[in-house]
Amino acid sequence: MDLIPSHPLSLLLEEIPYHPSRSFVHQVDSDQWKELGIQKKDRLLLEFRPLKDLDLALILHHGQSVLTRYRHHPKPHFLPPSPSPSIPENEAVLQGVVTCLIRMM
Amino acid sequence: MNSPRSILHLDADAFYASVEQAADSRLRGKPMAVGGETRGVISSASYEARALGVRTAMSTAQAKRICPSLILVPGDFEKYERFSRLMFSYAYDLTPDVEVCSIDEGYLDLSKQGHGHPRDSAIHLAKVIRDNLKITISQGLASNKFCSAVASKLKKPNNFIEVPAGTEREFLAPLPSRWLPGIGKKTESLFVGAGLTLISDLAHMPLKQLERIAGSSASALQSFALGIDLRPVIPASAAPKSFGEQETFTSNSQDEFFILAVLRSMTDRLCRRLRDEGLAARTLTLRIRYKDMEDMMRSESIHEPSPHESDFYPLLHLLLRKAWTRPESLRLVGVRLTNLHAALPEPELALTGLAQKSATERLQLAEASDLLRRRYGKKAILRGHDLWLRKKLSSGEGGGDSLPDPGKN
Repeated sequence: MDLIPSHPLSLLLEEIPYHPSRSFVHQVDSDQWKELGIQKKDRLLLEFRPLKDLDLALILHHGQSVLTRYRHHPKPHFLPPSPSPSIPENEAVLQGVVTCLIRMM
Repeated sequence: MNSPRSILHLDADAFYASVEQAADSRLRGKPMAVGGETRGVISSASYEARALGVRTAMSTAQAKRICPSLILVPGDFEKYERFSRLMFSYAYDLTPDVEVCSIDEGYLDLSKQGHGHPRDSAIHLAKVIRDNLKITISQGLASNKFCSAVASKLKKPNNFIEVPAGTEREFLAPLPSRWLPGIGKKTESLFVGAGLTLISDLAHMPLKQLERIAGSSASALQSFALGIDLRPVIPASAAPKSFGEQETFTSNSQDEFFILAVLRSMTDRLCRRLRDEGLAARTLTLRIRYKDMEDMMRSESIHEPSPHESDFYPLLHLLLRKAWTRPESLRLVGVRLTNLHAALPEPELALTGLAQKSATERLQLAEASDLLRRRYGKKAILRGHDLWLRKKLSSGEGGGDSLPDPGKN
């Protein structure tokens, strides 16, 4: 069977959802979110909490992880980097609100 | 008299397929299934596919024949584990007494929750999971684990059934006897042949008579049939369920061959325990302790969960090399299997592809070996590393004390 290299923090991450903050770390593998200030290899600290307007939100959409801005009005939706169109909230699954960035120097 | 307990059983609907439909809205409402890559069988089918006859453990070739429009998606088990952790995190919001049975099933003891009726908690739980994760769950609420589990599985998907305290026996009575624990597809005909078609038939039969059919499990079976189940909900600790063993050597060892043989032997026993519980694991964590007591842990995952030790053997050498970086001898090694999934049931239909045949034969071989060991003792069948270890230890050369006992740690 093929092997998947484990995340360096995997043992810690497995326990995180059982704590109230319900946080994850997500490593960015490309420069696709430069427009939102995220660089390749950055680690995002994701908090699973209710969304507020203008939150930076990582969502699952069409099978892909997409970093977006959450907008509450006129209807709840996610704004990915241009030129992608906005995504209605019910078409995506929230993977976490980005509350902190860890940049690998 | 104690007031009745409130046990909620949570069972995610078509979990792997539902997660894929949640993650990709283009798959929603369509017949789709997860699987087909390695084993050539369906791991999970969406309800749209089930309506067209596609079933779990069916060969993908058969599934495509039945449903030509079926969309097949390869399994992404890391994603399923993440959804599972999020799903159960909502359960932990209600009570710390959560027993996670597998990736998509668990019990909550809501007897001591201080706010509202357990029914309202169940409805709230289903809503937050549906709203946030876009997947549905089915739930059963009853005074014990067995009745709540039956209630959650009786009418899926997206359903909630409450069995009021005192009505457990009436609730179970009209159900076929195969709903009882221990009565599966293979043994059902034995019970039906004895006139025990329904659960009520088992409830009414004199115990002595039932013992002639069910043997030593007759009493437990009849208790279940009467709606009695005193098993407590056993909350998991911070980490979800895992299987582990560790071994301290009598004298420190630098013999890599010996250490690998011990690790393989441990993995064999852990996989037997997995198979006993109908589970498969995806992640192996290896722990070593140097003679100066410094600990080191490394882990790796395989793509698909497996109940077979031979799938984990390649990881042992790799992880030992990664963890054992200092030129010092070791005093302890350990293995832990985590990220547990329910093992796939045996395929329902005749298998056609080589990969499927191989997977089925491997499982049959493993189960036959397990049965022989249970019947004739753990030494009835030994692998090469076990024999090597026995020889080494009996000649007094071993770095360890003896063949490690099963069930340690």
